[in-house]
Amino acid sequence: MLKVLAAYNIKGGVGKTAAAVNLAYLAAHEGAPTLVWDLDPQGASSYYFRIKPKIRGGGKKLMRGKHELDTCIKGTDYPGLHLLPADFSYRKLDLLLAHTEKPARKLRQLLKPLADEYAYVFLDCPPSISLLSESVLGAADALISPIIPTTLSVRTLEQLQTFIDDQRLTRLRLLPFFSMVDRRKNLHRQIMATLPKQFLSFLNTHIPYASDVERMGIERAVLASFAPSSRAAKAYEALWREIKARLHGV
Amino acid sequence: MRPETSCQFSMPEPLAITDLIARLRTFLTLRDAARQTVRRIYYDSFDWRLYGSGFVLAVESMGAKKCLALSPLQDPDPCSAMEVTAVPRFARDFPQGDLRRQMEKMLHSRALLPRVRVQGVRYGLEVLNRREKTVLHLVLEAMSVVDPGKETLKPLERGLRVVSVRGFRKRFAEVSALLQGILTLRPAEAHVLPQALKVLGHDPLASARRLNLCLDPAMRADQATKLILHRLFETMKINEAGVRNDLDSEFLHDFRVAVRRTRSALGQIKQVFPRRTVDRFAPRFAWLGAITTPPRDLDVYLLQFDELKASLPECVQKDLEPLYVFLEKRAEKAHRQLASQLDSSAYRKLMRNWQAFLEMPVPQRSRLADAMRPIRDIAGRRIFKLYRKALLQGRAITPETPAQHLHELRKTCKKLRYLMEFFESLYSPSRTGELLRGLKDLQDNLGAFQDTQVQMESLQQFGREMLQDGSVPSETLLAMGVLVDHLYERQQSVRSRFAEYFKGFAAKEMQASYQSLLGRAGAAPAC
Repeated sequence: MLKVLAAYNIKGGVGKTAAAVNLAYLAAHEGAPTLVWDLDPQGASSYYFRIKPKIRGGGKKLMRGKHELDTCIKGTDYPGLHLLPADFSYRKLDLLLAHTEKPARKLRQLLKPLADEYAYVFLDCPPSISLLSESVLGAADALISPIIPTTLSVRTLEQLQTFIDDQRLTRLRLLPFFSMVDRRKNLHRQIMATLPKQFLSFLNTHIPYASDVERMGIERAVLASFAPSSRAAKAYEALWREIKARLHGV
Repeated sequence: MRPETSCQFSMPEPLAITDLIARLRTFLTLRDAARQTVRRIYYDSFDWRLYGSGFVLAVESMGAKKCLALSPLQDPDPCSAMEVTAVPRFARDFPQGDLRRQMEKMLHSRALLPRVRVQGVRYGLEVLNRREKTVLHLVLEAMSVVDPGKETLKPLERGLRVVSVRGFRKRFAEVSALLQGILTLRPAEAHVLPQALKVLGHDPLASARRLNLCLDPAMRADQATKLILHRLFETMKINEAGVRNDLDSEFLHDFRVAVRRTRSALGQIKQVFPRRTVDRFAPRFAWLGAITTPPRDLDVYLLQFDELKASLPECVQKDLEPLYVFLEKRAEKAHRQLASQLDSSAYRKLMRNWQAFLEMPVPQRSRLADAMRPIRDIAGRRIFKLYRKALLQGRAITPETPAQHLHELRKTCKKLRYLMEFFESLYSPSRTGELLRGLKDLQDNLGAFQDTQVQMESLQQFGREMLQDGSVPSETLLAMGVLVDHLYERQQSVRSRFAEYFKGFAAKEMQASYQSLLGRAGAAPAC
């Protein structure tokens, strides 16, 4: 059964794209057909996969239905992993959604026909809290939310929790995890010790601050392909195991 | 995830793979080729049931592991694949799931055997765009087939497979056209197996057909009969090793059918061979039939065991398990005994002398009444005579007739069936097809009656023997008793329907159709 996972945070630069891309690769590598939908007009996922961030007809056409979504999908260089590329017109997705009926359900409706083809869809979301966010929350089974252990990030997590509660999305799981962790920093250690007590669904695995993750932009590839034994690559593997266990109740 | 589009080409030009890659690099940006040694074995049943159903089962070795993949013959992408340490022998040895269901449907009781071995190298190449993104895959294969007789390698045509990447169909079309323009390519089959079979001179679909005789209606009867018998002799020979090694139950079944058909041909196509020849071989083939009966009966029991068990109330089904163990042991012993009989000088001598007789040319002149007559004159007459015999036997059967009489009718029907199969090619298929259908229905009814009769008698015998062994639980004997009861009920129901089937077989129209075979042979030859 298709699971939709959204890499989402209100804040930008927290490691959403790195998480979406590397976790999607791990899922596909295990044999589960996987799709990444690059919803961010900046097109970082598309860049990592060396695919032009362009959709024929733009976001407007895409919002029309299944046929368009299906024809825009591109194969990545990794078996079993496909990408629905970004498009610069995605910056107006909020506006486009506003003109549709039941915008909060729009993404879910668009993804429905893909349920037979994919086991996982990863949504790489732009940092915002908007109509698109509502639609993402309506489509996702879980929000994978990278949190840098800083005071501001903690605040955004609280905002996100309130947002989810307001939407009354009872089936949606919020799965925050610490990202870009620097254990040399006192503040990081303090927040990592206290925050999971406040948010019980916090994942145990954290992603370290690592130059290998930054190198993804130079290599334009997933971590496992150029630094498979790195600390960060191993951390993503552990994170994926933990997410699967939560999703499938193992 | 739907499979990517692909095109398969072969290159008749024997270009070295490294030269070919260098040539490709002149007009395509390629990522370094990954070279892989390939050892692939195509598995199928002895009679090519998978291939005949349009499927290919390939097993590739990768270190200690083996990758087993089932693909449609026309499609390079497997519909099912799994890793195995040992290749399952029977469909029932596959793990539960779609693949097992598919194998059961195609293989039934036949074993999977390694049929064709190919080996060579495979290069996977990636065609890149200006972003250095893979937009196309090229797979080059340089394979050879292992000639099983000589253990030598026979090269196959180089294969080139172009596989699209989703979303880059335009590039796929462009490069495919470009490759066809630059290299000498021709469209090839999705799998290398058909080509390998051709190189080895095998035609699996021809060998899968049981008799596949094509008789000339004007051929001398003695010569045509020898042709039939020779085909049956070949069937015995090709199944012999499988019987000896007990590879699966069908080898023995096919071997026995060939023996029975041989006996039928010797007995029913009269006056074509000298009496002393028939008297010399007929008892020996009767002996061969008799020594194959015990292992076949036990095979049938084992094959039907699950069905028999399921006919019992669920609470006693497990009580029948000791019977399975008993039958299995018995079957092993019976097969061992048969294998030693096949090693005996009596068997070897029979096969040698029989082959010599079959290969001896027919005499130029014969004093036997039918030897020199055209086979078309003999065939219809013999068929009609046997049909009349079956009619007489069948009409004498009443609800009170002993089981033995039904068995006699069954034997007559079998002989009639064999004759019709021998001479099938002399008549139009529509005519024989209609006759065979009516006969088959009656045979099925008589077969079901006789099988239940034998099963009941054997069950009682097994019960006595298990009791003598002293290890049988009383629950098993009780379950066997219930089984006998069920079989009796089944037999009664089968018998009650005999009249209905015989009525169809003896119908006026059917009689007229059989009569029309007299002198009709050759009027519309099937081949």
